[in-house]
Amino acid sequence: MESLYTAAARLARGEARAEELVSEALDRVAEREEDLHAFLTLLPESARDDAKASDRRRTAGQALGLFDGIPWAAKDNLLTEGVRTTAASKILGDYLPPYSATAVRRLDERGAVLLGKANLDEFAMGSSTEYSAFGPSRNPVDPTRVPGGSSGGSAVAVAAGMCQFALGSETGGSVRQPAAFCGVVGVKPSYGRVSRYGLIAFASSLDQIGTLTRDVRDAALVLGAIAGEDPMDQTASTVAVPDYLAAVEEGGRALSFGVPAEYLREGVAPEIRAEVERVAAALERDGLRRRDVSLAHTQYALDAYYIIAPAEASSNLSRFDGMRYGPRAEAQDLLEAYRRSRGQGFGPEVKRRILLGTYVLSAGYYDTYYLQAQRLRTLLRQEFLAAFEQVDFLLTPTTPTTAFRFGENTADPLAMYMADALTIPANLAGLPAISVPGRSSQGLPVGLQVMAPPMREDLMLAAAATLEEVAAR
Amino acid sequence: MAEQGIVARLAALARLELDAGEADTLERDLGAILEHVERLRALRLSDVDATYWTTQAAQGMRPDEHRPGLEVEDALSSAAARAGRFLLVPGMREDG
Amino acid sequence: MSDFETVIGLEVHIELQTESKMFCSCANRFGDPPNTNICPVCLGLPGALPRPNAAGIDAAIRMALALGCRVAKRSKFDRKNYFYPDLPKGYQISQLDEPIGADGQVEVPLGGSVRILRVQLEEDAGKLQHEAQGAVVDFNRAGVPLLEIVSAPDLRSPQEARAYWEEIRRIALALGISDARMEEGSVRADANISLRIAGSEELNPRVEIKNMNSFRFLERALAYETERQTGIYRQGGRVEQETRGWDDPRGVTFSQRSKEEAEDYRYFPEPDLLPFAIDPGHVEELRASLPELPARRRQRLVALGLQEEQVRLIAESGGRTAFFDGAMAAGGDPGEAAKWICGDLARLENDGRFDFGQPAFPAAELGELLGAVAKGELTGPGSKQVVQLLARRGGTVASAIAELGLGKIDDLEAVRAEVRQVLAEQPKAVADLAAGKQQVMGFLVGQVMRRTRGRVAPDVASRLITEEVGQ
Repeated sequence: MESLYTAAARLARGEARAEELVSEALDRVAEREEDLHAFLTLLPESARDDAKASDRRRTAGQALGLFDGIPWAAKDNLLTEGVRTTAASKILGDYLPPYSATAVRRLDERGAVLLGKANLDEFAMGSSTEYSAFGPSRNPVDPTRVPGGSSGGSAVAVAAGMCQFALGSETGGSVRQPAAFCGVVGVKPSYGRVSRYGLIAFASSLDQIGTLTRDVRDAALVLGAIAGEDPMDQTASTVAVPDYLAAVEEGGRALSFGVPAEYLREGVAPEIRAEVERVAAALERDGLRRRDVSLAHTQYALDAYYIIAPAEASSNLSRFDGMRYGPRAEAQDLLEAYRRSRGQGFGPEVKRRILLGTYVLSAGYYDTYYLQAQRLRTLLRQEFLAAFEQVDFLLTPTTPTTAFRFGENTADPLAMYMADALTIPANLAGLPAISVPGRSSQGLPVGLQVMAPPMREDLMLAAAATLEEVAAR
Repeated sequence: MAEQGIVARLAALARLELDAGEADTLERDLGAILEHVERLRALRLSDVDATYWTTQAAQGMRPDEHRPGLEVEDALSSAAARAGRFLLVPGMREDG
Repeated sequence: MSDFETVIGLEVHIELQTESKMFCSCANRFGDPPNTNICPVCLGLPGALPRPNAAGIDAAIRMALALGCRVAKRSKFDRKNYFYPDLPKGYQISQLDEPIGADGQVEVPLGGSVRILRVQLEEDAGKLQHEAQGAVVDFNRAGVPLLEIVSAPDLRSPQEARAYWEEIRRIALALGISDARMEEGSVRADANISLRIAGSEELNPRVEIKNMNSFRFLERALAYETERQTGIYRQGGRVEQETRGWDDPRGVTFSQRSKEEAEDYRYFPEPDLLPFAIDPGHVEELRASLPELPARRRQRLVALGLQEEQVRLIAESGGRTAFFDGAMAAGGDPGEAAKWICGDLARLENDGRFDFGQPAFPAAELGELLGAVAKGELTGPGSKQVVQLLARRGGTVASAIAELGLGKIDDLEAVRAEVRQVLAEQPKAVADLAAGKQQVMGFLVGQVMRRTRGRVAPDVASRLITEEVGQ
């Protein structure tokens, strides 16, 4: 399937109609959805209607811009007014939100056509979609393998050509990791770059909405459409949104980079290390300067993450109690209703994180766990900022391994958590990061990660555009 | 390491009903995760400030103006039980 | 056996009177139909995020200043986690370790000086009512800005505790940050109470009595608890640290939750809201705009020579104070003005026929009235008629005097003629007076007043009666 940019250009030139694009997308879904299970909810009728409306606007010379008529998919933890939103959990039942997330609304206003709601690990807690209450998605490259997660459905939909782009969400790598596993481009913006209003919260200080696209240029377009301040989210930054497309066109040849050794240590598969080194050498040959940088506290990032994220999650998930929405279990009294509704509504990984989070916040443990983790975060961020004094961007692998097989990590939560070891530091430090496909290894996609200074998505995209070109050689 | 019976106490705090099998698995997992993060606990960081937020140039406060919100029919359309315009919830025993 | 001393600390909660709620744009309004003022934020719907109301923060700063607190240069919000159906998110946004105000002090009438530990801003919960089929919840109140004012354990009796709470409420009213309506639950208090041997500094287990919404309940509950704890100690027992409720019909406190069952609130900094700087310049602006506070007002009134009861009555109401000050500005005598305000006008106000907040006639006219009486242009009884008319219809003292025909009869011979007429009509009273029964004098003066519609000064009438009867 063609890129968003190309499709938009064909629409603009009158060489294609939105109805055709949507039809093709739906055909593709019909062909592959049974195998891949990218979606939790599909909206064929409303998508066709929206496409027709888009074509009418365009005919009347009132097209809403580049996104008008482009089919897309939203991760099912993004609220869509009047469209079932589940967070892949049973606890929400068939919840119909009375409002849409800001990012969704911004795409609606640009005429983008929502095709459906994409599968994820329940409440975005997981790295494979195996924790979806509605069954996993499968990797289009090799359906015996996981697509990664938690934004697995979004990555699958883009990789399998079911839509032009998708939104996902990140807390510790949930966009970049599935992008890497499925061979597409995944962006985790700086904390605060995109409004979180209407994103079902997992860990509020880490969550960001991100993009899944076929290439870096499309990522720039989608990010540009959803980024920017929002009166409904105080943590959304008021910093102006630069022209990301211009940054991509300029490219990153004038930039310098570092490959921190800590991201190539044991646990990272040799073929992935080799691919990073190959691309780094190619970048140097293209004139980018490489300097050594060290990020010693990276080794503690996973630990800090598995304290902070569950702690915030335990509080964020308290509202799911079977009272105002979601099914309420049969019970004799209130306490039993709470315990049963939550006990039956949440899956095992969510319960694991709620208990862990409750533990680290409970009386007597706060300082040794939660406060300690937030202090580590300071060091981690300082270390990154110091590295960015030396180099413009960092190049690392996105994941330690390529896509793993179903069931390989479900028995051991720690093994599953390791899948996010290289992506988590950017979330803790609030940095923008992107995963760009490298050369596949034994037929499986490999992701190359670029991290940039906070709020420098322009720089990140410029570097990624060059990386994409160099890696494809 | 997680102490004995901790899962029951946490589940009570978090209002989670667990069956015996779940509780055992969770106790084991919790122990393993806490053991893993011991390395972090061992660091001396008492002189380091905490970073709870990473946003730069965030929004300020909201001006004190009121706007219409949701109609009760939309707001409580997904509620399990209602009594007229009220949300209806189960009664409490002594100390719900 | 030694005497015990009661040690009480109070947490007073005051709902702020803002246009919108603390963290969303829903109307902050009492009395609407259930679940009228609700939105994704205050209902805790998935994906919703809070955004703080600047007016709530300003109100908290003003209260902190009024209580002599240090206003934080930086403050933040924290989450207090617990489950209850009136708490939609499963946590309350509150303040833990960086409250807006700290370390203040307030002078309480009869209660001395009470230290204020903290003034913090939080959100109120919804309203839950128990019914036969379960409980019903109205979220109109959920998210309404709530100030929590925590005192040090400086209160030594239920009466002092009550006086302190009343003073906090008066301050909130003077600041205009709350309507402080007790009957609507916009002011509530939790009390901590323990006993110790008088004069000692020992710390005994304390009992918390939660969620009282009337001064009388507080006083009664604390009195009961003092008795109960005294009884336990006298019998050599130990008071349990626990939370107790007040059962007003039965007049007893009852155990609600033991120390072991105490909630673990798992506080942590609210990640959805950024810490905020409070600009010292802004604080100084707010300080400069503070109205006269009740304590200062009382001092001023006392210095003017008013009686204690008059001070209390005037100072507790901004309207009465303003009216009093208006009369003073027009040259009235403080004592006389206070008599009117605490007497006839207060009675009219009680009957709903006068409102000091929106008076039917300007306060300056009370000053005029006092001047007219002082100059002898108007008699005491005449002045009462003038005030009744002004309260009913407004206008000026001069026009009322003219309308009522109340100009004082200054001509002594004209007065004497009226007196003679009365004496002629009352031979029995005249005889009694002549026989030395002085108590009929009042009756005769009254008769003269009636004939002249109060246009004669009573002392003049009395003097002339004596002269006439004596002749």
